[in-house]
Amino acid sequence: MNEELEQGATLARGLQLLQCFGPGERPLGNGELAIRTGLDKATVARLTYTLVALGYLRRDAGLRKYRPGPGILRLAYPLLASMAIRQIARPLMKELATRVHGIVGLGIRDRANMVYVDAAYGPDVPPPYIDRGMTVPVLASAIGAAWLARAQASEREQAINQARVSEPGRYAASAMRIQQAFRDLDARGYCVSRGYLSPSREAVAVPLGTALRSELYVFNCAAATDGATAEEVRAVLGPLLVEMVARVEMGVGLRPL
Amino acid sequence: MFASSLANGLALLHSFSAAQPSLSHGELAQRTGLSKSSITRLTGTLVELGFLRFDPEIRRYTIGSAAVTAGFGLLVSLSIRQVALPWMQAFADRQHGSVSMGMRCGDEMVYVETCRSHDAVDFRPDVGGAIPIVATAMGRAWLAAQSSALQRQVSAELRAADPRAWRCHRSAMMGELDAFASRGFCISRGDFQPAVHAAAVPLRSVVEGEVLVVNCGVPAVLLGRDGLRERIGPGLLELARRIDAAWASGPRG
Repeated sequence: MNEELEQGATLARGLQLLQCFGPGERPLGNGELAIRTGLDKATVARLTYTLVALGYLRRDAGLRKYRPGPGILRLAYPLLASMAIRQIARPLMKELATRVHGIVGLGIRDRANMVYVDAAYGPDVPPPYIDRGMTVPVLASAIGAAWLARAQASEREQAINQARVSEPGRYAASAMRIQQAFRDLDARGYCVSRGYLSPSREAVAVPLGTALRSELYVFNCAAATDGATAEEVRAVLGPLLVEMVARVEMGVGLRPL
Repeated sequence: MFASSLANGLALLHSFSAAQPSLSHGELAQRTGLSKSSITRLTGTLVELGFLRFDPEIRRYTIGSAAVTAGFGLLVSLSIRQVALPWMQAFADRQHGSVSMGMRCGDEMVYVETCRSHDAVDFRPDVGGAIPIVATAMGRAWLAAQSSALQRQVSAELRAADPRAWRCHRSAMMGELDAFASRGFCISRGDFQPAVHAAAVPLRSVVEGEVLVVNCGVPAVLLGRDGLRERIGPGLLELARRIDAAWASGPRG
């Protein structure tokens, strides 16, 4: 391999190692990381050494294994701190979450997933909770459907292609899912799904009218069904979320006050 | 044994800040000292993996969404955040300030959780935000909780990393390490953000092998002459012991 290609490949492998430390993962040693990534152990050792030196991994000397380091959190800070929409939306999200005794989230797309950048909860809402950095599949969630229905064709295609590898089952049904998302957004102004994190919830989602700085933001709202039918819950949550998103759009200047 | 392409790629990501959330190709070259052709290759890889995005409207790069996803594993493993959150929020609301939890990262402390009161404050702490150890209450409180051998080692590292900050804040930091022994908290009176004074207390719970610290920053105008030492510091000490107690007795999801 020539030196130029090697540069990009080394960087990609290092980031791939960081991505091994997902939620619920135990500390991992060089041998385990080599198995997971398919890299040889010497390469892995060189990458983990570099990542530890820079604060992206922490080495547990007793276990001789690695854990994610705080440097990883620093990476996203400039993005999150400069998202003015989070500051504008936060009180509105809290208000809606409290009103429906549910959860309101804000997400953007990361490859074949939607990743949450903020969330608000009503009082006494039981777990599971949404947290910053948590992901749900684009092809299996209301928030993903709403993104699909409003995204640019090229980005939509990219997300679907990324799902082709990671989730072949969902990929097979993607065309149908996209059509449904278009119909829902068109007819009702919101997309719907059974709660992805908890099947005892129903979820609705609404995208911003247009992208902000070419990033398309999507809000979702989920609440427990508590004996009501899915359709009944959606009919309550949907219009409230549509109204909230309209207020966010005014706040960020996408819609006149 | 250092993988320099990996380090260079991460240095590119590290060039972005809350004040400079988007950078052009030329600005990246200026900040990292890398050649333009290296930057082309490395940004290509970073965009492909979602860690950077290129905004064609403004022809600039911003941090990409994969960076948000990458931090989730660490946040989940620090489950003491969930235990602490309601207490932190109540304290922030009561004191009209912001309350954060942080862990050490080199010569800085990085926030892993933040609660703000509704009052607008110039400095907006958030998860992933980093503050210097030497100038902040949180950094000083972290240092105060370490063995004297580690304190000496870290002090040497701090001096080497930023000699100017060390000269400015060393004596205030040393004073706080002494004061910690008697009062159990450290303070900083605007050494980091001039208008914000802060106190901090290390948790006794060791989580994931780390000493975590909680701080509270309040606009100086709200504090009066002794508010930091008499109100915020002792209150924060009580908050920290509550979090420790709840963590010791609660489930460790």
